[in-house]
Amino acid sequence: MAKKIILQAKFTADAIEDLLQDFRETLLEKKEDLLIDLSQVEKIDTAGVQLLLVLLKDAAAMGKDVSFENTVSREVLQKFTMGGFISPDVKDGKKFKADLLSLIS
Amino acid sequence: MENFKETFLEEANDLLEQLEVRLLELEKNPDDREIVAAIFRIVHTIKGASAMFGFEAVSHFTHDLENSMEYVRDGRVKVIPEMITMTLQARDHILMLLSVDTPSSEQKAEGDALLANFKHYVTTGEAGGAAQSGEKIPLQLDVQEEEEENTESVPRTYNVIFKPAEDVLLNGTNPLLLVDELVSLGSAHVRVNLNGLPSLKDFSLQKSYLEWNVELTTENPLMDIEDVFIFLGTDSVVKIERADGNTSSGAVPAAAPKANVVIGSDETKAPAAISSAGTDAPQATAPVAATAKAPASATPAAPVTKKGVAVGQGMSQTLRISSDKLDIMVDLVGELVTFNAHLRQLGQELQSSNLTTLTEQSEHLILKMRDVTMGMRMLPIGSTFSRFQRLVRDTSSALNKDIELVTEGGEAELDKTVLERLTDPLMHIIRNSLDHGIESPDERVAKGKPRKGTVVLSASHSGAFVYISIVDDGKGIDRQKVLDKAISKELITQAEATELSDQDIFGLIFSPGLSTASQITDISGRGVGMDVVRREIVSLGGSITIDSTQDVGTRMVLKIPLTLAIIEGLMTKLGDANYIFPLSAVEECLMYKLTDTESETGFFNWRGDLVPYVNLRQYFAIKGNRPEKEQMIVISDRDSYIGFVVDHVVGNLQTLIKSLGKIYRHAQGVSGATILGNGGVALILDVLKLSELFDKRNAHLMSNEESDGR
Repeated sequence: MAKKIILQAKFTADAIEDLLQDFRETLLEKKEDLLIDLSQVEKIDTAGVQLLLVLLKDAAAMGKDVSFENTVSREVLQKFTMGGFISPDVKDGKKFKADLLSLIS
Repeated sequence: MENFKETFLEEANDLLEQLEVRLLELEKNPDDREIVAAIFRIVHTIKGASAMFGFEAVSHFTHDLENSMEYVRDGRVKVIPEMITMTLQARDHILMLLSVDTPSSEQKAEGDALLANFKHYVTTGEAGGAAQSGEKIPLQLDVQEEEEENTESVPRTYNVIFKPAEDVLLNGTNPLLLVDELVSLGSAHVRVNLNGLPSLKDFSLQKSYLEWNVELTTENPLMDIEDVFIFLGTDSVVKIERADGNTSSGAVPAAAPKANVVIGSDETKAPAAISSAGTDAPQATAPVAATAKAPASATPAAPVTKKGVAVGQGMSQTLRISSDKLDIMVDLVGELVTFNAHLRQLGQELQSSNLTTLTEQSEHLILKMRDVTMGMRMLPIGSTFSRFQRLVRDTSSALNKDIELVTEGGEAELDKTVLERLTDPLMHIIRNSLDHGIESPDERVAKGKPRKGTVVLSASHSGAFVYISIVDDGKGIDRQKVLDKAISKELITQAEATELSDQDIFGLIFSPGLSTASQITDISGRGVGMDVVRREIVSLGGSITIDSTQDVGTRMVLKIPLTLAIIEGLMTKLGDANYIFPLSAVEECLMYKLTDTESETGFFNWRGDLVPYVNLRQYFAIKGNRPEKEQMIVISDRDSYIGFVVDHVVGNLQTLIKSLGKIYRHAQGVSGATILGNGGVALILDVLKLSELFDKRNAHLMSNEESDGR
């Protein structure tokens, strides 16, 4: 059973110190799958972007699963598209994950 | 905000200085595209920065100027002297605008006129080939260079590799934003490389691990692409290549040193500042890097443009420090030197070898520190030299003469304060050469000289001094004129005039009120010049000599000691008092024996030469008995020597010079004092002055002797 984590509005370096610890605990120690809700995110920076990527990367290496809720906020989609991480036609959590995974591997 | 403004003003002044230098360079190399590009970048930077800091007038003026200058940058108009003059004037105008809150209507009109003139030139090309606006006038470029600037608005494709340094996030840079900006220049395909991502365990929220490869197709010039990364530091990598075969790399910071900006977060006091892109490495200074406190907030602190702002260090890895701080440092080091001397003294008194050893070690360290500190205040003299280029250009054109200024040895370094104080004297001497020395082109040709006159300004190190010489190939100093003037001013008598050597005659030039210019021109001013020049140089502890040959030219040499404050001295004793000779001037110490036929002054044989000497005991009228054995200190002053008799030599010391204070200002022969380890005071002898005084005395005595028929 995956652990669901709902990200808050601010997904930026100064706000996610605790969240980072949470992720480490859940994925690395408890070895649980993750289900991340990106619908509430209004602000995301390079640190936030990198964190999601790192999560996916580690999970894939460990054979664990990191998935996203269907609704992804506009801000997240925009930032990831702009940075060249996903294609512009990505609208939902599933495609979001798929594009990112193909980037990582 | 005040802090920011101040720093901006400093930087802007710097930029304007560079602008002037570059413009003069361009005048000598009108086809050099790199200089044009550099000039354009400077103006561009000033435009942006002034807008950012609220200098509206400057920003508007520069904006219009930049528009006109684009014609030059794009190669649509030729670079001609008139254009250089106009740009120099525009630069002066900007300098003026920086100094006022709001320009007066007069000043504004002046600026508008300048801009209108410029615009007229670039759109119609008044001189040097009729150019219809829009039609290209080919400069002598090779094809490769032309590719660099996209003048035809044809879309070109570039490959941009962007790898931000790991710590850019700490400095408020937002790489994503930069990528976005890049992309907004045209149409792009963005590829990101995630290889640098660490494991979740090692991941840090403060670091950047990503690398981008962007294929960008844009009509914009290369410069716009470079501008996106303008504020990035040297650790980040940016490579821009033409993707359609030709490579024109606008790497940051490799080939073209780019601007680096400091961003102050609210907590730090370091203000934001801009330095120019395209500065020459040796002269460039980048502002102090202010490290924002981690974790960096997502939005950089104000005032920031939409571009990500980063901390960086300039190409030459320099730091900008207020000179006040340096002065404090120098003072403290000086105090340490004195303090250590106390300790050493104590060690000797207590006869503690431990303490003595320790103080020797600490002295070694302190001296090292002293050298580094004094070194911090050193600036290359070339920075002062380049200021004179403009002076020569403007003055020679005003006088309708053709004169070139050549500079050499600009890397020689001098203490900052000394350099500042030298500027006026040097300027005066150069003006003299321009005004009175170099003849008009026709006169020169008639004499068989080249039309163009040359003034050579050069600097070189020797020992503890820097020699600065100003040589011109003009008409030389007219001896008779000087003599006539001196006689008419009753400085010498007719009879004396015949006895004077050339050197003596030249020396007369330093007398106040002796200007041999029949017309007092605006350029050189009244006859207050050379005596003030000399006074200034002597007060710096230096000396000035003149040499001149009729119709060949004139040479003036300034000898300046390297540092002001701390002196290496030879301590001697005379009676109860201590006197210090500047070690750099000491040639030798000899034993000296009192003889019966003692006169106050005389000559002695030293290394085969007859050298004059002075008995300081008598000279300073020191009471007490003379010791049986005394010592002679032989002092050198360039190529002449003089000996001073003292009781005995105590030893070497390094010490801080303190001035004697107003009361003793007129005391001749003493240039300062210092506090010794035992708390006592030692006087520092001004050997130059002493030898001068001695000379006069000697001459007087000798003439007395002659008249007495001895």
